[in-house]
Amino acid sequence: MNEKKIRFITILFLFLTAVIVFRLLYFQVIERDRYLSYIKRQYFSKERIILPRGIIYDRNKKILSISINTLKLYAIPKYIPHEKRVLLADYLSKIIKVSKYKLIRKLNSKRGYVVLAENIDRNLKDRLNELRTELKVWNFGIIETSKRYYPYKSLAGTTIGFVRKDTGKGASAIEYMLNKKLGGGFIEVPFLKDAKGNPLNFEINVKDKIKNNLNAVLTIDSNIQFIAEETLKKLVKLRKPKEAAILLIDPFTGDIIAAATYPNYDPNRYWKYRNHRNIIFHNAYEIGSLAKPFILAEAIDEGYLRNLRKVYCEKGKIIIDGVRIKDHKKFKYLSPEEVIIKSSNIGTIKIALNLDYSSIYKKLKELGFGKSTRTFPGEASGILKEDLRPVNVAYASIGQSWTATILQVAVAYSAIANGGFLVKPRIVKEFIDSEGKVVEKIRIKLKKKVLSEKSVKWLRETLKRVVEEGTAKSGRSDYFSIAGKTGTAQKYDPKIRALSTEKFYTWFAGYFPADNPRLTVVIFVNEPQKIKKWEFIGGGTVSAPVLKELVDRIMYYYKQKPDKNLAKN
Amino acid sequence: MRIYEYLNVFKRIDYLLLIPVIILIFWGVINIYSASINEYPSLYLKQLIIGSIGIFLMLVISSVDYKKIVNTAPYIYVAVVVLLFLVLIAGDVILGAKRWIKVGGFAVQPSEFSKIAVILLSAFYLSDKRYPISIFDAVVVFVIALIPSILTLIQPDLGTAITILIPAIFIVFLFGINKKYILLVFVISFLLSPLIWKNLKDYQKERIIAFLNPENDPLGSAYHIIQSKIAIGSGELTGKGFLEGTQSKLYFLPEQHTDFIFATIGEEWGFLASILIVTVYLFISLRILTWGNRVKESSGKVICFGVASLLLFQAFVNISMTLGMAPVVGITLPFLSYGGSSLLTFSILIGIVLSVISTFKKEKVHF
Repeated sequence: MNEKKIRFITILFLFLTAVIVFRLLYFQVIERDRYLSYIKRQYFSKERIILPRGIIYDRNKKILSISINTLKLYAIPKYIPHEKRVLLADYLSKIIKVSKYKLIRKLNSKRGYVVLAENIDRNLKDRLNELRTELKVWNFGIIETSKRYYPYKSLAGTTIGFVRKDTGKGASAIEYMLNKKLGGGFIEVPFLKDAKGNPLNFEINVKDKIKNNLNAVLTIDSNIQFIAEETLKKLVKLRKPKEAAILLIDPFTGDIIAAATYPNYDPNRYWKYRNHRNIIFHNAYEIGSLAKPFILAEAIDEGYLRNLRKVYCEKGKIIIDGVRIKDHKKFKYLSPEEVIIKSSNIGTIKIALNLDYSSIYKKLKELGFGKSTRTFPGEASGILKEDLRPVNVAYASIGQSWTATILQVAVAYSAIANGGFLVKPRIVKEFIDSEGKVVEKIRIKLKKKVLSEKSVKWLRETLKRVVEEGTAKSGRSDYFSIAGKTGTAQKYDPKIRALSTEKFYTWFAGYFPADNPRLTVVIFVNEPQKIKKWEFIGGGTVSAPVLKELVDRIMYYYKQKPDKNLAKN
Repeated sequence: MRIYEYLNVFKRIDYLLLIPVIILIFWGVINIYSASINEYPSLYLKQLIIGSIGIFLMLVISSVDYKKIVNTAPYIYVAVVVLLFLVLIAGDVILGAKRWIKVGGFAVQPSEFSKIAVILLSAFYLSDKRYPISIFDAVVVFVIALIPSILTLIQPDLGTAITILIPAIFIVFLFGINKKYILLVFVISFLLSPLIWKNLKDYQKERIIAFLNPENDPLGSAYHIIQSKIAIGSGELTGKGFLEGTQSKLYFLPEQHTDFIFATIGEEWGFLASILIVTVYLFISLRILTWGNRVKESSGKVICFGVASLLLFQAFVNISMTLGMAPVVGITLPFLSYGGSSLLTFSILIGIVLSVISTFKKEKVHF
């Protein structure tokens, strides 16, 4: 046999195979993008269906955030005959109550695919489908999608956050934090042309795509949230500050009961607001005199107060390391209690400088300052750095030169209210399924004891007097006892490269009722405006006055009897 | 003794040939499932049954001495030619052509089976001829192929008509006919091509024009080619995944389970799987060709050369067609395309080749 011929045929076979391999290489590897783009051209459009998400309830099972089913109406005008366009627009305008001419204009557009209407009530689906079959316009269609709805509008807006309308996923705050549990998201449905160029429609079964979404129950009480927001509004109207916030937490469980912020927004229309920050969690500020009680607590623990009857307050001026620090009044001799009640800077500094410097920082850190509580997405941790130079210890003891979040302040003051324990804040109470059965409970975490019995006792007595007779006197309620501390921090002004005498953070932090605490409260205002020219801006004049109304309203809501002897007043 | 004989039969089977073929058959069933499940949910089952019958036939035929089969070749040939005539007279018209005839409830495509008849009759005729054959013998082989080919061409079915001729060309070439004559045939057919063009059906002309210039009429005749290229091209390196192909699933791709099954495979399994399949065809063909070279007996050689060339050529033309390298002529991808006649034809052919190999091994032992 002719071996040459066999070899020739073999080579021919190999050659033919090689031709195919190279052609495949060309198509599937080298030129693949071109063919992928061809495929895209065969679509009219890709439409997103937003999948429903779990509900967010407040602690009383009131709905704060819910996905509602809506309809989206589309048409592929190219394939709808002219006479049918008018008919369709006519009937459709009556059903969905949209101007007929608007619909006709859309139906006459040259685009391949138009959205006729969005956010249509789902109950109209049957009527719309009837219309479709009656008029035999198959290229008019209905997509079932969903929309996130916040029934209380802006209530706790910055705390609840929002779900993006284009992706169906939470993009901020609790909505973002709970993306995994609540589910949601979107699916993309391609609208295709078939072989003849006609649009292909097919039913999409969204139900298959929904995984077992959970519902979340928050610790927020929407009634108290409402009261807090009302109070905050009043404060903002009066003082026109840059920012302000009221935070209420349960001192024993760490449950965040209300978190009201200004600025706030309505998550139903989140895209109209540029700022979605929640200043309670996201920002850290200098806390000013709010730090003082903890310095005194350290002094008690170190035994320094045992022999201290009076502190000489240098008539309002002291120089440390060549830096002059002033007081708001020219105090002479003050008892340790009076240092807190009258909020003397120099008194606090002089006590602090007699303590172990690093123990002061240690105490502050133990109280949770300088570390994020990890309760909220994007939570700040504040800056607290140990600096043992006397001038820095002096500044630190009066709450300047270091920062804390409003939540950290509430946690630290809760420790005074609950007998010295550090709580882990909680904003989600539990997750429940669609039948209301609890699937997962978020446990309450009481961390270690951070204040001694002795200092707790001393602080509780003293803080009560702050409201009754001290700097927070303007916040005193006639019905309920309140304990707390005011604070004023000067803001650093980059213009004069020094602490400003015009711009302040003003604070109030405390708890009520004083003897049997129910809630810890923090009221914060950033850059309040003076109402009267001669007025002195401070925690006592800005933050405290709204306190009594807030406390009275909340305690009435809790149906509590006044704990003060009314006859006395 | 008999049982011992049977065991020997299994021992003599060339598994390196049989196993790739079986893999191809099942691979075909899987992809037919993917390509047709939306339109015709039971097609893959039909293919699975016919595939199993094919495998059974392969094993049975491989245990029979092929010379006995070759001796029946004239009868088979006559029967096929009669059937081809019957198709022209009483065939079912499907897709504008008369290709099928009802035999006992099944639609049978005799033009597919004529491939077996042509190869067997050539083997029968050349069994006592020695290398190199005379020009007269070569002409006889051509005439053997030409009769069913012409009958198929006027159905009309250009693709199958060409594939029927292919084995004859290769057989004649390998049996010692000088290159010059084969070249002469090509020159003559080239000169005759205007005449052939005149006799082609309009749709056949359109397809050839579309092949030469597909972008000319994207929604018309070239639609097949463009959609097939898009499907394969979008498969990329590793494919879109089983059942994930959009082009074939959404009816962009016509004939996605028959002639264009390779496009479905290319789309869903990608480049790597595609070249693997091409390599399997090459392997099978070269294996048969090698055996053909080793076998001493003439008719066995004819069978091996015929089947090897038919298989590779038909696979090549089909894949080329899906890749826009050949005009769309209705020919199947051996073992993979949906279609009982094609699958059975190739199974029987492989069965006969296995028998040639088996007989050769047996004789080698004896002598």
